[in-house]
Amino acid sequence: MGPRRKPRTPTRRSSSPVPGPSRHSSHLGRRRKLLWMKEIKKLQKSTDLLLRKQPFSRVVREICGKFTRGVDLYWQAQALLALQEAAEAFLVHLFEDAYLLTLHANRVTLFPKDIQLTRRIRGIEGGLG
Amino acid sequence: MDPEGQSDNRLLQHLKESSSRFQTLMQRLIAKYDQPFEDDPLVQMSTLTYETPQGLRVWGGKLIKERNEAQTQDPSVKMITRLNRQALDGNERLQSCTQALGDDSESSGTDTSLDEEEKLSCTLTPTVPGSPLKNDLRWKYLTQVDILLQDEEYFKNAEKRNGKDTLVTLVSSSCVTPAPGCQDSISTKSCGSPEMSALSSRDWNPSNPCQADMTVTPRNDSFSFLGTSSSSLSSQPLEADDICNVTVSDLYEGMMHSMSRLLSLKPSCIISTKTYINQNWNPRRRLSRKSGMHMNRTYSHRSKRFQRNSKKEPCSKLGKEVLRDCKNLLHTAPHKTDLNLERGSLEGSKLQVHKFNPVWKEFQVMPRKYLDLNTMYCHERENRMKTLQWLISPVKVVPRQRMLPSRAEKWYREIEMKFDKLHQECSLSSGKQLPLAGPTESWAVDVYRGSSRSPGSPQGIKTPRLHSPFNREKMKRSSEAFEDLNEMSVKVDSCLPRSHSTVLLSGDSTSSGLFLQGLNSGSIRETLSPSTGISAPWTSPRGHGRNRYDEIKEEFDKLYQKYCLSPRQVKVTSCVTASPKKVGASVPSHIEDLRKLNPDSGFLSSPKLSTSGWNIRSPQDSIPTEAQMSAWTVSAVMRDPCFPTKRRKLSYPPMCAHQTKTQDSSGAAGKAMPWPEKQANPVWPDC
Repeated sequence: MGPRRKPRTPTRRSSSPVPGPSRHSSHLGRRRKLLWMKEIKKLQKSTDLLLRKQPFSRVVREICGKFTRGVDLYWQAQALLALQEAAEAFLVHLFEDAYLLTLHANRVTLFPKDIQLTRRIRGIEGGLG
Repeated sequence: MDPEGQSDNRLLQHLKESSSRFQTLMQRLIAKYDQPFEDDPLVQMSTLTYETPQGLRVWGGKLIKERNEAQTQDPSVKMITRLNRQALDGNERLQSCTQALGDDSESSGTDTSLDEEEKLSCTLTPTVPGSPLKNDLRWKYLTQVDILLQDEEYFKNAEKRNGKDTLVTLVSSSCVTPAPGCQDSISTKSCGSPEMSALSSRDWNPSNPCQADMTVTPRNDSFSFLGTSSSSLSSQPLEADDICNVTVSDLYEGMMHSMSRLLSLKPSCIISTKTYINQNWNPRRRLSRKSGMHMNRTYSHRSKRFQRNSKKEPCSKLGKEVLRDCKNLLHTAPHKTDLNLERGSLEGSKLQVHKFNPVWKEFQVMPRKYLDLNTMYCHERENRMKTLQWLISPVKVVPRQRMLPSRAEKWYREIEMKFDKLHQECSLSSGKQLPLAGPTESWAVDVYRGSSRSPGSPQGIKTPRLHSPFNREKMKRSSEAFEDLNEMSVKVDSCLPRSHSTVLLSGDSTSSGLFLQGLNSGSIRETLSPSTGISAPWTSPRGHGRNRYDEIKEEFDKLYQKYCLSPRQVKVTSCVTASPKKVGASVPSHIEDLRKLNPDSGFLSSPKLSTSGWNIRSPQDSIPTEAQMSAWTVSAVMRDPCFPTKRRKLSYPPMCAHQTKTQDSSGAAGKAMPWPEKQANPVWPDC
């Protein structure tokens, strides 16, 4: 997996780009955009897992513990990987749909309500409850 | 409207695309994981760890515990595992490449983005159906055989190709074949049999060393098994040594395991084989371990001996317990039995205990059981050793020696004999070794005797003789008194009925009826009143004056053997009182004389005397101290006719019988005065 992305606060992109006072600012903005685009393209190309294994396994353990009532089970590594891949695929799909709704709301920033709406529209099965 | 409709269409299209992508992705995922992963590592959910060849690893984290490979595997194997890993990595890379090629063009750059962890996880969790782990195992076992079969020819060819830099080495999992220079020194046994090699020669094609199951590794990375010359071997003497010591067990680890499973149904065998392989994998250690094994064997023999010797201890302990039981038995019903505790009969007592005591029988059986366990353990151990030897070093093919029943019987008999010998020793020595238990033993014996006797028999007379089995204090006092007696004439005031247990040996001549002048201390055996003795609690101080007690005991024994075992043993009860007038009179030296003497004394004709007096049953009866003396020491015994004489049971059974006879012959209607009366009249009425 590539280097960790630094979390960035979502900033609402202004509908009309603010005219930069100088060349430097516009140059930087273009660079940033290029960086974003680069990252997006890279991540779209990659098929590796995006979530870290250990946190995901902890989540798995937590949910597993709920269903097994505290009994510790053994998971095959492949099972964990499969679960993670499936989860990631689902999340990617969910975010895609949610972002469409964001765009539909004339926004560029994804809000939680977009995701909720997506799940609502998908229904119980598609939105997974 | 148009732009809105366009945007809606675009949105719908995007949605469809997204859903289709998702579907394809999920289908791919399903296809990917739709198979059993048998050799997959298991992640424990509690700790989120899993086993890797490197050690215990956290899922998506670092190594927690690094496996110590030096202990479990020898260097060659380590090397091979490393090579295996390399091969695996290579495989993985190839697989990923193919996968990448098979996938869309967008996933072509995946390898570059993989960090090390991911790589490792990939190697551990291969995603291709023909999982490399499985292949690896197969490869391992197959190459073990293959290289064994092919090694000779291969190395001959390798000799030819020595100079080339691009020499590739066939790396087998464990067959470490030495360089040609060393080959002569190695017997063909160590690395495959000649037939096997002959077989292999057919299969193996030297021109094509890269077979399906073999790894081709560059020579630089590999362990330099092939010395270019003998000099290189000499430069690595240790390695050569390792190589020379490789046995079949090293080569066929898996085979040994399965064979051991097949051959021996005992699970211990398998386990031992496993452990042995795990622990002594290092061939360098092997020799020393082997010698150690032999040493262990010899040691086991020694230890056996030692254990046999140590059997004494439990023997005596058990004996103690038995005797304690007897004690308890006595303690519960001490008053029913008048006991004769003879020091001299101590040795013989045990035999009787053996006869009568069922507990003793148990005791006899018990050590045998222990021994059986012991022998079983030894058998098992030896069997294990043999199997191990046979399994691990088939170079010296030792046929598996099973314990034949005849041999086992022989062994058992031998052990039995030894045990008997030991037991005899133990039983003989325990009498001396256990001064505390000694009296109680005799006590117990007397109990059994008493119980076994018929009431009509002469031995059935219960005699209240006690050698102070409980209270050593009394013994001490008495012995002290004896010492005093050595110096001066002693007047024993023993006729006085006493409620207390102390023996007054100090000369209170005025009240005493018996004067023993010039009495040797040894000639007097003071037996203490059993009433107090019996009623004395068992918690009497045991440790008190133990040494002193031992001394006294020795003295007693000596004296007893000297005097009391002689036929001229005369027992004069303490009730006999001698008037000072008759002190100078000669005392008959044997019982007949005593008997003659008795009518003269007239105490036998006393109406109070009765035969019932011989059986003192009530504990309240104060039993008179018994002054036992040999006749020759007593210069004069004059009996006062007014005092009844009580003759107690003699220590020596024949003597006892004899004396009882004499008593019977001389006995009138009433012989002995009942003791309660005595107690009622502590002062002699006639005097």
